Amino acid sequence: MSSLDAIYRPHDDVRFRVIDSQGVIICQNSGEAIVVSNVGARILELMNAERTLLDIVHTLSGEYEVARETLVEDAITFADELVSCGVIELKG
Amino acid sequence: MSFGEQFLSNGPEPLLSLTQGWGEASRDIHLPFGTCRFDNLTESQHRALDTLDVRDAPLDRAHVDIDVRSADPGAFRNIAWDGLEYELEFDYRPDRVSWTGDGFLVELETGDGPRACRLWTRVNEPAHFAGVAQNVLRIVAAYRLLDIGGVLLHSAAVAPNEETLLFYGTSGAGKSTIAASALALGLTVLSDDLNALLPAADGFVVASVPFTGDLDHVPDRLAPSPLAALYQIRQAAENATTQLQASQAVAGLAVCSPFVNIDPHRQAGLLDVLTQLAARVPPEKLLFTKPVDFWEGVI
Repeated sequence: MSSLDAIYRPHDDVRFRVIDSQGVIICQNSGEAIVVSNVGARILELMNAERTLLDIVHTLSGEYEVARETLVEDAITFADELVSCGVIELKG
Repeated sequence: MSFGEQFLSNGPEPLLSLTQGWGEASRDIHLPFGTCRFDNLTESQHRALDTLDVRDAPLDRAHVDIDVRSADPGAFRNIAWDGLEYELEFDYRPDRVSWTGDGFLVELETGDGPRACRLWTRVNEPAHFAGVAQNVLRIVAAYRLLDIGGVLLHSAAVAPNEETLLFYGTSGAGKSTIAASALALGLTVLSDDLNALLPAADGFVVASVPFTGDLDHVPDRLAPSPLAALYQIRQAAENATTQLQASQAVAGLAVCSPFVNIDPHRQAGLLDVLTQLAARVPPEKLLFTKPVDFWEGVI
C-alpha cells in the first residue's frame, strides 16, 4: 500500500496529456492508454513536481471541496492503482 | 534483452557497415504520404512486391528511399517460425527507429522531408521477401504519416459514398466482421486492418494502404476521401451508439495507432495528432451485434 510520505513519479516511458480536464496516459511498453479523472490528472501533474503524497493531498484539499480523509483515501488508492499499472514508480 | 537479440546472431553492428546491394532493379510503391522506392533489388525481390498489390507511382522523387542491402545469412538467427506470427524488436531513437525480424534489419530516419531507410536482409525468395517488405512498409507508413500530421489506424474503412466511415478497434474487436458485412452489401471497403488518415484543409481524409487483415480483402484503391465518422467498435447484445468524451476518444485512438504508440519519442506527437483528430471528427462508441445489422443507423 502506498505511503503518504513517499514520492512517486511517472515512469520515463509514460506520456501523459490533459484533455478536457481528464488525463490520458499512454504506457510505452504496452501501447495501452488509460483515462483518469480530473482529480487523477491533477495528482499526476503534481507527481511530476516530485512531491510527497501528503503534499499532494494538502494541495488538493485547497482546490477541491472534499473532506481531507476522503482525499487521503482516494490518493492512496489511486497511487496503488498507478503503481500496479506501471504508470508511476517510487522515487529513490 | 538488447536490441536484435532474438533475430540477429551478433547484434546490429556488423550489418550496419554493409553497403552491397542485392541487384540493379528499383520499384516504386505508392502510399498516401508519397512514394517508397526500393533500390538495389533482384528480379526475384522486384516480383515479390507485385504481391502487395500496389500500383506503380510516377517516377518522381521518392519520399522514402529504401536501400536494400545484402547480408550474410549467418548474420541472422535461424528460427523455425513455421508460419507463426512473431513480434518484431524495436530500437527507438529521437532521429530514427530500427527494427528487426526474421531475416532482416531496418533503420529509418524520421522527421520532416524525404528520409532514408536501409534494409539489410538475407531474403531473396519472393514469398518471404514479400513478408519482409510488408514489415518494412507498415512501419514506414506509421512513422511517415505521423511526420505529416496523420496517423495509421487499426480500422476497417467503408466508403458508402464520397465520404468514408472508419471503424477502429484492437485485434478481435470486429473490424473484419464489419468489413465483410459491408462488402456483402456491395459497399466499397478499403482495408479491414489498417487505414491512413491524413490532415486536410477541413478535417481529415482517409486513404487506402495495401495492408490486409483477417478478411484478406484487397483494399479498394480510391482517391483519399473525407472522413465522415469515427466509430470505436465493440461487440454487444444490442446495437447502440454513444458519444465518447474527448479523453476517452484519444485514449482509444492511441491504442489503435500501431508502432508509434510504443515509441517514447513519438508518443507526444501522436497525442497531438489524435487530439486534433478527435476535435475535428468526434469519435462515437458503436456497440454492435453479430451478424451486423447496424448499417441503416450509420449510413
